[in-house]
Amino acid sequence: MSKKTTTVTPAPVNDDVVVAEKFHLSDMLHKEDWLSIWGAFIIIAIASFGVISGAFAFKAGTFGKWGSEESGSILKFFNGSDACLSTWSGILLTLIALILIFAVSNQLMGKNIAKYAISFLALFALTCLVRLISSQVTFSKYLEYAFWALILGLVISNLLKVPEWLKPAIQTEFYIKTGLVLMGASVLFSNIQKFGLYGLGIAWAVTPVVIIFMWLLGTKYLKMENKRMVMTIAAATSVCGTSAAIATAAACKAKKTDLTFAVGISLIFTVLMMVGMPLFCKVVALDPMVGGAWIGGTVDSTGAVVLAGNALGELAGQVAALVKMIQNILIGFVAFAVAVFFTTKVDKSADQTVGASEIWHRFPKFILGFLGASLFFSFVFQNTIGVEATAKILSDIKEFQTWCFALAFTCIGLETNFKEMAEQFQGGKPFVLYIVGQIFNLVLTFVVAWLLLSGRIFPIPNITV
Amino acid sequence: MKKNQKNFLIPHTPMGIICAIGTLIFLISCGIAIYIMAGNIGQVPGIDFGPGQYYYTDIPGWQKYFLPNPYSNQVPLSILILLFFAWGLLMYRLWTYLDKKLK
Repeated sequence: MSKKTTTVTPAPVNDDVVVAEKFHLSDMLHKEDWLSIWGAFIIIAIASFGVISGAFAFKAGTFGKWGSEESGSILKFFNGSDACLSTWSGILLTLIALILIFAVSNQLMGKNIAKYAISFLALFALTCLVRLISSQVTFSKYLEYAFWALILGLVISNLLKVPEWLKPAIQTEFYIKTGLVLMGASVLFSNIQKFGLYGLGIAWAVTPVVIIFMWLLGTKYLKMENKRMVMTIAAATSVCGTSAAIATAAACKAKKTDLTFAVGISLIFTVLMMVGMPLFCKVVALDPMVGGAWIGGTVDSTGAVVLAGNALGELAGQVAALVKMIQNILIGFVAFAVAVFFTTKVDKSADQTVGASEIWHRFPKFILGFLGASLFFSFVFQNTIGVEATAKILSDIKEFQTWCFALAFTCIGLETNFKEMAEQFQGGKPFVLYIVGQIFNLVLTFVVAWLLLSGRIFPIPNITV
Repeated sequence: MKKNQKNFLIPHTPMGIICAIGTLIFLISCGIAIYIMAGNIGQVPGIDFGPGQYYYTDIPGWQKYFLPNPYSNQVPLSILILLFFAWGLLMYRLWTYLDKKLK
């Protein structure tokens, strides 16, 4: 049968899915994907200029922790003290920066800027509430903004009703894409050499195998119809939890409920693994280096990895951080591969071949911004302005990234209803997918970590603690 | 009506049973996770963060954990990059092959 190049069948079109359209040069000034790149690049450029020139620090504001004797009560943000004024002035700066970027982008996209600005103010206020709640000492350690944003949004949308005037600012994908391009700067590819072949073996050899296993389990054995959910859960399990889920969901144009499920499951099991894995390692007297690598390669959230690793000792903590650092690099490349896979294999009919131009038309362009920022910071900035200055820039832009994701998760909550979530439940298949996939991940990572670091086959690496 | 309710609650197929077990494990896990959070279990002295810090830059003072080079790598960066892309490409090919072959 002769192959022919035809237009691919578009991804399912509904309000919940981002759909790519034919590319025109003017898209670069009018389409969400490109505007998310420019918006993030503006933030990165201003923050970089501030650090390099030493003239100012362009960083977003946030709430400090509250709810313990040391950190004080929540009232410290409302008592007119210096700390209170400093917190709110930082948050005001964040509001001004974000509303300028997003409102101008909306204007360029042909939307009503006044309506958007008003609704964004309300959305930002809600997100402020989310971030205030999640700054409570226990909440900030275990759950943080994604959980509380979803809860607050779900409560408003299901118990009350989202008012029409608030809807113009509910642009989940736009905030996610902008946040992801900002995150790209911190994905330092040069970190691949931090643990040499050992790190590459543990982090990179296992990850794609787990993704393939979970994909086949979800789509072939469990026969889950929602392939985008399978992909999002697989990336969250094999790479690094919430961050990877966000990037992959955007890359494969997953539904918001898919992302909600992936993040929810990942958060719950991360808490369990963070406590259970060091305990298990101690009970079986596992070598700290193997245990640290095992934790680094399997526990989803980076914070939990460092904590669980250090629960086994300093050496294990260091190894866990090294392995996770390499896994963090994978986010962009996995998102890229997923975008290509869905463009060329999933979103087309069986007898069609997708040409290069069609791939380009349909490819989520924000990933180029993500990879561009990553490569620039990895190979240009680090080598010219130095590691310390690069780290300072990353610290400054980090809070903007968090605000973008917090806005996105609040939007997801506001747009999701319980009925829709129940439909995605699919009899419990997403849970089976995650649990079996995570068990496979645990076994495979353990085997590879033991083979590489136990000293039976390869020499034990010399790690300075 | 009663019969329908019975059918809905009790899984009859192997897949239904697997899914019911999966859901049960998830619900138990939720309970354990809440217990862990409520009891502030799993904390390490001197470390004031946890699963809520999703990404490495979310960790307060992340430079302390991620900037140092505790391992002296002898393998050139170019080799590591080559291996990285070679393995990635091989796995992508395997993924597309298995996805097409397996029904």
